[in-house]
Amino acid sequence: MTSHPRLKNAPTALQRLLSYVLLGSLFLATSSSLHAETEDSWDDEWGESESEGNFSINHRVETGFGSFIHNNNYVEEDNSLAEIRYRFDMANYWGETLGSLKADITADDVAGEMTVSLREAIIALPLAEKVDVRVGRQILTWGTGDLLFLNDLFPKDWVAFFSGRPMEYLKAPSDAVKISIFNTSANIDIVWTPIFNADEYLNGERFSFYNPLNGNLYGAPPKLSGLEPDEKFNNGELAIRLYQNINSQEWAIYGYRGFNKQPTAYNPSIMRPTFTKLQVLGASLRSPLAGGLFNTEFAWHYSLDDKEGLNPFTPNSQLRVLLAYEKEVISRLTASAQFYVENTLDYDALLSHSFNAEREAEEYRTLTTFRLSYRALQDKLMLSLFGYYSPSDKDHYWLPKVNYRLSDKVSFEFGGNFFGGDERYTFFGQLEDNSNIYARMRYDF
Amino acid sequence: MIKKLAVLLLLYPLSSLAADLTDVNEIINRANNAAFYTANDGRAVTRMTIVDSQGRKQLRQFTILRRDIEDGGDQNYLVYFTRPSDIKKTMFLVHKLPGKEDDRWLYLPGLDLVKRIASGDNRTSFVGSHFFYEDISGRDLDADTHTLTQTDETFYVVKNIPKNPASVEFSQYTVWIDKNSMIPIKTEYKDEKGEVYRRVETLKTEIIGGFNTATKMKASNLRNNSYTINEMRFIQYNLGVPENIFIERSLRTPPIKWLKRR
Repeated sequence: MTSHPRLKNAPTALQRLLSYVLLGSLFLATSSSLHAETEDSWDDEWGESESEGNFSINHRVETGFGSFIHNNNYVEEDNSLAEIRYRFDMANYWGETLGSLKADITADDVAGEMTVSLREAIIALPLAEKVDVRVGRQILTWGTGDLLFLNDLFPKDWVAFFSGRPMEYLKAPSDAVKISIFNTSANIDIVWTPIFNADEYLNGERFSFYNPLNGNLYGAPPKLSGLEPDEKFNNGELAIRLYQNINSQEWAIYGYRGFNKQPTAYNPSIMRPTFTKLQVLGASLRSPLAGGLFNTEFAWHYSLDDKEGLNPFTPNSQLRVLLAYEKEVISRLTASAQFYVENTLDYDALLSHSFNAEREAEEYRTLTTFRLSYRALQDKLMLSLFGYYSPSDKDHYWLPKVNYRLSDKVSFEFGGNFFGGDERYTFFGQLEDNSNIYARMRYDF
Repeated sequence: MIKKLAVLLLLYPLSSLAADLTDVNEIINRANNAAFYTANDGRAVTRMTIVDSQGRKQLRQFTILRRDIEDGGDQNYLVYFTRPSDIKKTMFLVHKLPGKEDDRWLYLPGLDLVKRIASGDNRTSFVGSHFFYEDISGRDLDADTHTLTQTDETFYVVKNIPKNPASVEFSQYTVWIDKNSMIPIKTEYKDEKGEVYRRVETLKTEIIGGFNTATKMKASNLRNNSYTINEMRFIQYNLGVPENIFIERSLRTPPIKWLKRR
């Protein structure tokens, strides 16, 4: 492991965490009277509108603060997270037609900006008895992996994930049309995203990463910005899923045609990272097994711009396979393990054309994950530990987390994102300097 | 109202006159059907008030849709949370398969994630309340040995001893079943020392659509004086809920037509 003797920021981080908690307590004290009031009002109204499906609105304020635990020389900021976010969420039903809007107003001290972002803006309705349609900005998820994505090519926000924002922000919204057809033989989901939606990838502003072009770590400025595909009809994304549940066994077949979600390719003529064409075919099965849950999934990622793996600037095709098992081992303690392999195809071609063959990922990149989660105090306290460890890359990423639900309105979360590895060019090893701890407080009203 | 009264007046004396049941299996089967298999299907708005040992309250409100495939047998549930706002639109789907592990799915709307739940301990808190998963959906009748210990004017008293003591937190429990409605009115759980540490009570029953229905229940942890009150309103039976709404579709797109109160 590379040595990181400096823990220069640690006392500051702790002080800040402390002041954060103090601030939070003050906030709670002032809001507790309001809290009691609204709680009483529960007794009278049974929220006719809620379940009647008429107009509803909810508000949330969430503050988050996180700090790097190492001295990161590649990014300017000491904080990995420093923000206040206001979220409102409106929904209305007209018959069976749903209109839903979720928006965030965020004051982000790390990026030094105030942003308004639409998280959801949809109209959803049944087109026929067995056909649903959902149009607009929406969060989309499928596949069976736990924090591993084989066939889920919907956009993800890695910056949010690594900085300890609420887990739901790992999924970034898509501007898409989703048509679902329900059948006794197989259900079909078709998702069309007319304009390519990339992941929220690391751009060097908040987190540094390995730059294979010069073999160094990279941090902004300038921010890394991949050249996105032209906005034309052929460059849309199409994702399809066929699925069914037969006697408790859930199977699914997946297809995707679009682009790599991250700018993993490089165009030397314009000297910019780009997104290459990608086609994915896969399948999954999830089933109860010996008192727990077993799932397996595979995906063939076919790199359409480099089918033979001859171009060192574009990623090769891959086969990805996942095996997983989850079980409640003792009361309220759930444990799970996943084993994942990424087989890079045309590996000889990759090595013979690579500029730095010894730093290429292994032909078989193996990854294991573990999760332990425990509920206590009438489910108010949730402890969880998730870990990635790669035997082939010898790197790791641990995510411990404590969530405490003080009331129906207020909850806290403390956690960390700890990266490390033997080398600085592996998947998690490159992120070592980005290791951070964070605290969050949420208030719903 | 008059109709309900008429039903009451008609049924009450008749059932009182009926001869006492003596077969414990018949008693627990009837009680199981009365508590968990009323009519063919049903809908209720349920509110749980969770009170901890220091008197602090939390609330859960959800609409529950149920459809029986067979009385005393397979059954489907859809639970749509409406409050508090952080769990709003969370959907829970259960395919209850007595004798086997139930299939359960939880939908987390923020992530659009359909999470399958490993069927684990059925005797842990349901959504943070003092009710266990098993109190809501019923305990497998074959899991215990039942003995009719007493029959008085009002109750059948049945003592139950688990066949697999390692799988549960109690050493035995006793149920007081109302002879008229066959609804369990009180259940007391004892630990290894024979002390009662947990109680589930029916505080109120009403006749709804001709069916005796528990509309207010309480589950108490007697060790620390914390409890949950469970109230049900807007109950309707035999709505004609179709079988095909108990699928993944309903997790992402709540079947508002069936969830809506009428």
